[in-house]
Amino acid sequence: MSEQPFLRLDQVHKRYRLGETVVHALRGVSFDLAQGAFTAVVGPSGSGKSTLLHLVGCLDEPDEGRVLLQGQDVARLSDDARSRLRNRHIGFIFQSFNLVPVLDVYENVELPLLINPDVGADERRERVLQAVRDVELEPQIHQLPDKLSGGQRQRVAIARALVTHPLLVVADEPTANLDSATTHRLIDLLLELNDKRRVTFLFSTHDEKLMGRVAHVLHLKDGALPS
Amino acid sequence: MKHGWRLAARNLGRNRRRNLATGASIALGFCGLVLIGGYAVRVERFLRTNTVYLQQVGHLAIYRDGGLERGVAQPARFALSADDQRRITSVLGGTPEVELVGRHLIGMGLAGNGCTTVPFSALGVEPEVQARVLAHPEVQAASPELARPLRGELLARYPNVAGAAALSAGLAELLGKTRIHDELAASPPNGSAALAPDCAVRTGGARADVDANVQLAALTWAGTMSAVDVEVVNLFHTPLAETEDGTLVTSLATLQQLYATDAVSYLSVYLRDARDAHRLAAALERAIDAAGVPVRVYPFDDERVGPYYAGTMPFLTSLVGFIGLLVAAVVVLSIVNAMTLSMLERTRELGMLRALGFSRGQVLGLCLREATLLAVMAVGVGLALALTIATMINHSGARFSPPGVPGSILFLLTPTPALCAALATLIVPLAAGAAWLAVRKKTRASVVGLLHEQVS
Ligand SMILES: Nc1ncnc2c1ncn2[C@@H]1O[C@H](COP(=O)(O)OP(=O)(O)O)[C@@H](O)[C@H]1O
Ligand SMILES: [Mg+2]
Repeated sequence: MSEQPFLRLDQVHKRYRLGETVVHALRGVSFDLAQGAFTAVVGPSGSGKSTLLHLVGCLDEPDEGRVLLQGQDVARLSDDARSRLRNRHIGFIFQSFNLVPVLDVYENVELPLLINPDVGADERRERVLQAVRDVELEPQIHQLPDKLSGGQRQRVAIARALVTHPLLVVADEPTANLDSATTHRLIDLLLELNDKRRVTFLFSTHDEKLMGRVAHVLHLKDGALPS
Repeated sequence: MKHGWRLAARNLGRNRRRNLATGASIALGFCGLVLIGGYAVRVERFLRTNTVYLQQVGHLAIYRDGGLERGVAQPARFALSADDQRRITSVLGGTPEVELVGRHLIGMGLAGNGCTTVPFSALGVEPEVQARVLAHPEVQAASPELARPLRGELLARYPNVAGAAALSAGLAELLGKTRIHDELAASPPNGSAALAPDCAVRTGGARADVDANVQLAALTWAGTMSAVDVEVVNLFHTPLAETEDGTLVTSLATLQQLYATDAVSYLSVYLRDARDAHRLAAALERAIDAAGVPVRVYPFDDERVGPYYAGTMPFLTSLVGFIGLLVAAVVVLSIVNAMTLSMLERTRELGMLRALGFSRGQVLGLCLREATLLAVMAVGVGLALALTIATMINHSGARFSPPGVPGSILFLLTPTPALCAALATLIVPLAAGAAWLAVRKKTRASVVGLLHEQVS
């Protein structure tokens, strides 16, 4: 049990077919993440960061190699089982926030809990309020996303990712659409949540300046991790 | 998942204009279906009432085997004797679905006014039964105006008039018998004219209307000459234009006297529920055969006894079916179009939902809920619209002439609750199915593919 890492990527390859051409997006990536780690994947645009995060977040399967989450080979799961796994244990934060425009802050945060029958209505409410409090958006709780600033929207997305009490949060360039002051506040918030909740964070950025704020950095280049 | 419905409702609010347009086309389509369906229900009911009650075919017509085909040529051989009638009525008496039974004699001959003669075809009825049949609630609902004579009253109202008879308006015209018993009683013509009808003035007898008397002459079933006098008590339109110039209805007793028989041509059986007709036809045929009378029992929609009903219904059904298909196609296309567009706009959002853990089925469920909700609301609007239009038309008193029917009937649209419910349960799943067509590709796509789709 103790030898098994929380997350392990083992010689992972991913290729995209675009008509005749094949893009080799990941070329044998291997690494382990410990539970509670706060890790950044850094690399230029096109280096394969998103591809890597999709595999880690169980949104996609590798063409070669294995992605093991708590020892479980993700590729072996059915689509529905993977959906359930994402819903219960993995949170996502996207570069473009991806909030539902017709739902207010509360409802957006509530969304992933609606498909979890293990969470009853009272607990759901508790959790949503707590998550909104954690990202300090209580005053905006009944506003629609288009009334919010970029930083506020990303905080809604963070609350939505954390409301399920996930083991792992995957954030693909969460700060790419934010100014630098907001970016730093957001990183502060993620670090604080990581510290408080022991959630494993894996986020990508092509902003080299952020590297100083993160202890554990994976440098991705042309789909590989040069050691 | 009640939250799914909430999200679906919110999503409908997203592109209001497009969803309004889609909803409007569903609503109008549904409205059209309800109206055309209401028309079909009305016409079917009219045709059925016309055949069953007005023409007194009954829901079931019972003939001796071969009687329908050869009864006119060989009446003595193919009629139902008094003994046959007793056996049959005793079988019918034990059948609770039967509401009423009528006995009928059919025959031909010449009608004369003293100056000229015109061929007629006569139907003998039992006046009391006829009165009950024509006053039946079905008739009152579907075509009360056709159940009333044009002028005068039904035969049953003249128990003391010997040989009371009803003439089709065309026959009365040919015979010059345009004034009926009641009118002559109210204002009798002056004595001399009444005594000496002046045949010479005009062919057809211009002065024939000095009395309401008509002489019927025919060959009895035994082949001898026979005649009876009848008194014209009412005029009516026949249900079919071809028979308008030579139809006469009188009491069964009068016709039996003319043909010197106590037999009848057929029995008409009126059921409490028309839907029992086919089942009972077969059952009664067997039971009556077993009782010793070889008969054929024809349901009213058999073309041999109800040619008008049987001939018009396929036309009506295919017309309504064709229009229904067109409307269904419009509904499907508009839903497919609207859902395709909104899925295109929301591809990334679908990917996000999948990332949050919504399964393919749950995402599809959301989309289907959206289309279903839109369809349900549109059906509500369409129904209200249709009922409003139907009410307005029904109150306008507009009339129309069904093909081949002399005279006109009220133009009514009678969409029944059953019809509306049936159409709604057709169109809502149709809308959901169309939505499924539009979104199934999206829900099958990979999550990463959805998230990366470029949207403007
Ligand atoms: N869905 C896809 N189809 C084809 N090629 C893709 C797809 N996604 C990514 N790629 C290609 O794979 C490589 C890695 O892309 P990506 O993982 O998005 O990198 P990053 O997130 O670091 O910019 C790029 O060359 C990109 O063009
Ligand atoms: Mg990327």
